[in-house]
Amino acid sequence: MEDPEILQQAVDNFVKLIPLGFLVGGYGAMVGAGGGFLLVPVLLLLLPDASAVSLTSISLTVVFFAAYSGSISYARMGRIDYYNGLLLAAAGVPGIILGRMAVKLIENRTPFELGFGLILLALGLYLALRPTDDGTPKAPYEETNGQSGRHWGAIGSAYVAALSGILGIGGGFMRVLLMTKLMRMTPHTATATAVFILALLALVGNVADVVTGDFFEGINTTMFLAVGVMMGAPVGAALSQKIRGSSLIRLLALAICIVGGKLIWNAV
Amino acid sequence: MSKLLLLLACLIVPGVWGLLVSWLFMHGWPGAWGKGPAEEATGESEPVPVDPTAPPAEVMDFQI
Repeated sequence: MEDPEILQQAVDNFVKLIPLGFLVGGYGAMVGAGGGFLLVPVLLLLLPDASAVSLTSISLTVVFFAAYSGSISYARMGRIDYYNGLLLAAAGVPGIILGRMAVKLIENRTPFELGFGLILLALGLYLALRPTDDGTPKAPYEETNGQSGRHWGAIGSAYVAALSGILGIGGGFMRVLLMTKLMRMTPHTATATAVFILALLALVGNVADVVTGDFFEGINTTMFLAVGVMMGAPVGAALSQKIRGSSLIRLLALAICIVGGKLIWNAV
Repeated sequence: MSKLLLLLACLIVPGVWGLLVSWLFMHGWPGAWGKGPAEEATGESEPVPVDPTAPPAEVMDFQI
């Protein structure tokens, strides 16, 4: 016979973590982010005794499952730009490694987090108020997405990766901004491509976690959340089809404000 | 000293690497794989091409 406490814990996890994963996966897939910025604060409340390494590993694994599930949905819709997705993912690899190395050497992160949090908050508010450049229709994708845009997009993605490594965030929303503003991609293509990039980068991080053994800490929590995000991400992808580009940018602006607010909260 | 080197690396390496990767993609990407996403569904059908030299009856048949 099963221990009633273990059974109760499993039921608790089922009731709390699967709906949480569903919401995180759905919203993340819609805005092109992994949802780690929503997940980590909630996990801190649910698992107050968990170590930072364990929380990071849970978050990274859940982000991978969300991005993997979202990528399959977006691939079926034909919305992923594989060329630019692979380009931005490849450009980000050394940045992530350098960022993770740099974070260990930064003794006082407060000014860094405060400054960047304020910038993100301002950016989020700006995007919420002006989701499109000037209201005029953009030129078609193929005409504007020239070589110069790709160069700047790749360089930007490399710096985003370094910054996200230092700040401990995924950086999906910053890549959506790069793709829409520098590479002139439509918000629908940019969010789908950002989810695809996240799936690749999170997989690299997960493999590293498996090698170091961090992956197996909190595996129970991870699996429940993974089920939730894998159900939520396709729903988010389907909903984003029905949302206008400017509304997607406003949802992204909300995510940026949340991340900015969280960084400021950490700093003060 | 190591901090300064790492800071410099964080400032320089991503930019150089990003430029290198974009150059490699532009020149080494197989043309057959294509670039850019599939056309997004707009819900509107494409206009039917019409040959201006064709007689009106044929144009009608073609459009139907």
